[in-house]
Amino acid sequence: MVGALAAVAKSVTSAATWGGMTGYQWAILGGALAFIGGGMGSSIGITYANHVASGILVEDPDKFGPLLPIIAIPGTQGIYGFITAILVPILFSPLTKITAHKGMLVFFSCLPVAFVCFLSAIYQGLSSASSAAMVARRTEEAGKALILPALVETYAVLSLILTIYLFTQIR
Amino acid sequence: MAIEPVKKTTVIVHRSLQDEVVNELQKLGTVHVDPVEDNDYITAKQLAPEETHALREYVFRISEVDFLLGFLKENRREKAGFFKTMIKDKYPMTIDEFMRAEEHLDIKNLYADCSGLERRLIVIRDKKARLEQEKEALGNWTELGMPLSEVRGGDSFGVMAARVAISEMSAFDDELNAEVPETALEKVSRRGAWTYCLIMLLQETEEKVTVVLSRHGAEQVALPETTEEPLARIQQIEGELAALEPEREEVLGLVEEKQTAVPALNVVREFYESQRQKIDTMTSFGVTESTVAIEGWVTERGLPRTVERLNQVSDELALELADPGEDDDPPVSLINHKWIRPFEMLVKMFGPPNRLEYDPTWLFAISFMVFFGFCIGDVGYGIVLVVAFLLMRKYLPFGRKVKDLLTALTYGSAMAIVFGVLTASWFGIETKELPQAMRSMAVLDPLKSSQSTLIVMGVCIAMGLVHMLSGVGVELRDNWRAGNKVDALIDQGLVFLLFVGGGIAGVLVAIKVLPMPVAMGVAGAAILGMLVLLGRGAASVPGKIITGVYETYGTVVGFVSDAISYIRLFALGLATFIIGFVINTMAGLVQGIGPVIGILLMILILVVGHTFNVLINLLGAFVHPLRLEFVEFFGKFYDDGGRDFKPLGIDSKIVMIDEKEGA
Repeated sequence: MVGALAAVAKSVTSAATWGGMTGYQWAILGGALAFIGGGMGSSIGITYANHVASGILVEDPDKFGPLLPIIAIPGTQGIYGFITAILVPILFSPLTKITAHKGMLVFFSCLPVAFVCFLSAIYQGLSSASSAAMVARRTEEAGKALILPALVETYAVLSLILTIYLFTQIR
Repeated sequence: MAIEPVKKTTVIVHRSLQDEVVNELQKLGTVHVDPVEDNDYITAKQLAPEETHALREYVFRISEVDFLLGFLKENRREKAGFFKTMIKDKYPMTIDEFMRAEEHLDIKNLYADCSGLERRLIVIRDKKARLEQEKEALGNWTELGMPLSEVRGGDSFGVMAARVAISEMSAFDDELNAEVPETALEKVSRRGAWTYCLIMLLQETEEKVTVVLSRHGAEQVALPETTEEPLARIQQIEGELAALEPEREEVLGLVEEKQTAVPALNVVREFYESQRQKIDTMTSFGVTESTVAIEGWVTERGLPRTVERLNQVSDELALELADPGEDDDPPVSLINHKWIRPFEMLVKMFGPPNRLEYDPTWLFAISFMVFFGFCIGDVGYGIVLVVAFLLMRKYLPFGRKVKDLLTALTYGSAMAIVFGVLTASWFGIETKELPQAMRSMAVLDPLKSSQSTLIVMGVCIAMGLVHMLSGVGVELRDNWRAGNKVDALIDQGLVFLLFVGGGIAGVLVAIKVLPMPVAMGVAGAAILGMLVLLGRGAASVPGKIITGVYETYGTVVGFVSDAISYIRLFALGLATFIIGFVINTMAGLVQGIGPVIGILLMILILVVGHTFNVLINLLGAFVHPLRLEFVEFFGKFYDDGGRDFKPLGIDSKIVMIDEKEGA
């Protein structure tokens, strides 16, 4: 049994393709997924914050300044996804030479960013929307309102750190 | 670098001198007024009828000025640009100029003029809206070619105007012929998705026709009342609309002439607001039959000036000064070195420190600068930001708080230059492309190898541990000074033993000065001490054991997880570099398109791209270090809940009082 598993592991490690895809394709898919997750989450998150902010701006256009950073905060997850996608070809250059096994590892390493950034950006958007409502009533508390959504981002940051750490282990 | 000592101040004056004293205190801006509590001798002041009248008068005048400002803003020919909406105009002046602000403005006349102009504009607007509505309605019947007043029924038949959806017209026509054959349908025009038509019908069939109309989602419409043919009337309306325009322009021209009053109105509004606040503050005073007592707090810095100026008001004024008593809750005023002062507003964002607390602004300032610098971490961006913040501070009309923020960010940007040099980050240019001189200054390149990436992460964790331990140190000091020496030695001392003692021992083990068991022994002793002593507050022995285990777990795991949180600095710094690198790569790709267009496109991508990169990372570089300060650092020691020292004065966001002249 153990011998059979070791043989499977060896075949996967040395195979040119896995699941019909080369290592290059797996790595690119991982990077792309990271950006898709982060980018989609950020777009949705910013939209949530925008809904509330636009309502406030209709009533009081002077609040644009304090509201802008609060609306922009959920945009960072998209950037984390982007960084991950860019790091893949930088750290595993030349990407075309990467084995299927290594490509798979890169793919799995990208998943924390892909999923965590997707969800955290959406929830950060909801949190930003609440903060925007706070600014509508008490503009002087804009500083505190900016910090609260940043707490949600912790897990997006951790996912990026984990992904980068896993990359270093593959290299 | 501390919480400034304050003196409890009581001013007792004859009632006749009250206004004079309050005016002086407001000009001085050094006394934080607190409500006087009732006792056997003093009762809380009720506003006199003339003061209540004055208060109402100021509220009324503020509403008048608000109307004027709103009206002038709404009818301004040139709308305010993006920056104008972001940055409000500021009005620097002396306190005496501010107090005389009303003299330069005839508000009553201005109000009467603007009210008249507003009425004229409303009449014009209403007339225009009515004419445009009529024109739109007439537009549906232009093909009729006859005066609409002539489209009417007789004694036994009527004419109904209706609109039917084009897609329903055929079905509607068929059903109308089948259900009410004694009607005639005249299709007049098609506009958008509708066919406008006239239905000639017998009076008694009107209900049936209405039913058919509703079945097809059609509706009756009213014919505009005019004796003219639709086209002729439309031409008339256009003439009337054109005639309204010069009148509207004339009124707007008159409004434009009034725009010069806006700065003075803004200042006057602030003046009225300050007077309203002044009367509001009077309700905090205490009174006897013939005197008024004003209680408050004055800082040691403001004391000599306050005493001198109050003594100048009258000889018949008693000024008592005392140190805060046990039961007093004095407001908190921070006193810091000039370069640290800009960071006070960031500390206060969390909440001013408790008055018995250590003022951590200097620690906050150093760590915030370092973290901000680490997040930007690029020489080029650092230089651009330093220059931009300095220029903004100098040339843009910001208030004190924003100027303080810009100063704090300037320091942080200077640190970004330092970290950029150390990590070989120059506008995101790839390290191997940099000149040897720049590369040789770098000590850390996070993308060079897996090991260097891990080293940078380790540096972040180390910075975090130092940051958090400095917070523990502050708490140790507070406990020690408060006489809780045992608590200080156990609660904070053991943390130091574990992380500082254990860390030093670990390093000595690594360089083979000490054997491993010694380091293990130091860390083990600290953890054992925590297990035994952290539960000392519990009443029973099992309680002590359970609390000890729980507290030890919380302290050790909390510290480790908090330290990991600092790796975000690496992630944010890397984000700045990577985006810059991608922008440079994109610019490099378009360079070869053509000799001129390629260069132009490259410059465009570089300028727009790097500007975007700086702006987006500026947000993260501000928010995340602030979070590390508020959550990880303050969480170790900081007790907020202090009352901010807010002296009675001119509290305005747009009027900048020249303190030297006003003093």
